[in-house]
Amino acid sequence: MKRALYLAFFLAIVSALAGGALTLANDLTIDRINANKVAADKANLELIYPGAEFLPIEGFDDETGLIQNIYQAGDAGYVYKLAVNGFSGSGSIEFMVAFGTDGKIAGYTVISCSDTKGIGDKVASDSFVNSIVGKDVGASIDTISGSTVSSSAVVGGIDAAVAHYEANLK
Amino acid sequence: MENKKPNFLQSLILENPVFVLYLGICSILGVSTSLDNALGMSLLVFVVLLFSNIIVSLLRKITPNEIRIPVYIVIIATLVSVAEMFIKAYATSLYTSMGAFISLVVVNCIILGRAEACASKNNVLTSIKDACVMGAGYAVAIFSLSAIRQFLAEGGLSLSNPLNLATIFKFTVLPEEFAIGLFSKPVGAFITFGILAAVFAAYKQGYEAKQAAAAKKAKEAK
Repeated sequence: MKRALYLAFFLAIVSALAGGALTLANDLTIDRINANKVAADKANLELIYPGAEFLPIEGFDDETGLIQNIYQAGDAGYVYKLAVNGFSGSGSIEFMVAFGTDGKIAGYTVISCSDTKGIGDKVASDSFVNSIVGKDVGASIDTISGSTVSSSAVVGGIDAAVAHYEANLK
Repeated sequence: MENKKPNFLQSLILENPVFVLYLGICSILGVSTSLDNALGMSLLVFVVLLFSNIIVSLLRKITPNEIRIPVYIVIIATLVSVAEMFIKAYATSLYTSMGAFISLVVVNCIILGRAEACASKNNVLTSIKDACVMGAGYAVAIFSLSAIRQFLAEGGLSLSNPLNLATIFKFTVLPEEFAIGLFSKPVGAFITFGILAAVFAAYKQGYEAKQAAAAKKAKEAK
């Protein structure tokens, strides 16, 4: 009995020290990690609207849970960052889609895609990008045959962004 | 000639944790697609191995035998999580390309294996030396695997500084149409791994045969 208590006590001490070390490391790095996140988004935002002033929109309502971030790009339009569930599961495709104030889709870029190489990653192909950019906001977008799961997920994400855009920001 | 101990370079091959002991293969197969990953992974494994060996060795007299494995796991998991946070903060691109394999270092058999086999029985100095040999062995393994895979899959090699992404060197030899994409996929990892393991085994066999021959000769001379 005494031995068992000692074992539990020893493990508890080790775990407590480990917890302390983790908290310390977290405090040291958390600011930089968050800054990296915003900086990473900025680089992708610049691809769509070079040189624009980006303003994150806080506290948006999204029932689908797909929208990660929304940025206002000056008076040129809005950029949505989404993570959709492609072939490799939850959030496997991250992309940005931009709606211009002229009512057209101003940009679409895939940030990361962990779906199958050569199949699912066609959602980042030039032909798919070109089939989206320039369309009217809300127009239907064709999926890619041979990459149905991944491209449907992307189209579903764009639809969610359109729905949010038309209801709140347009 | 006396039956001398293998020198440092030889022991990297003869006692290579990956190709001879077959430990830690999961991360090796997973991330050995480029030299950048190889550099990041070998540094990470070395740092975690070094600190876990030091801490385990320091605690070896007070760690109760019954719960030594959970204690080691807590220590290793903490070290890996701390390392992961720092990689996320200071080398984001490395974090993106290594992904889940960073966390998987927690269950890397080399680290737990060395904690159990060496650090829990030896003093700090021996444990540090052991971490250096094993860490270097891991680096040899992942660099050789990555170099072959990247060369065949991309037609050339490149290495960049993980902290600021500055290119250290980059060259392309094979024209793009001769690059074999297969080698960037898991299949390529297994093929390359098998061939390299065979080469290491062949060297080890040759070395042991030579040792045996030398021992026999010494006996006859007597």
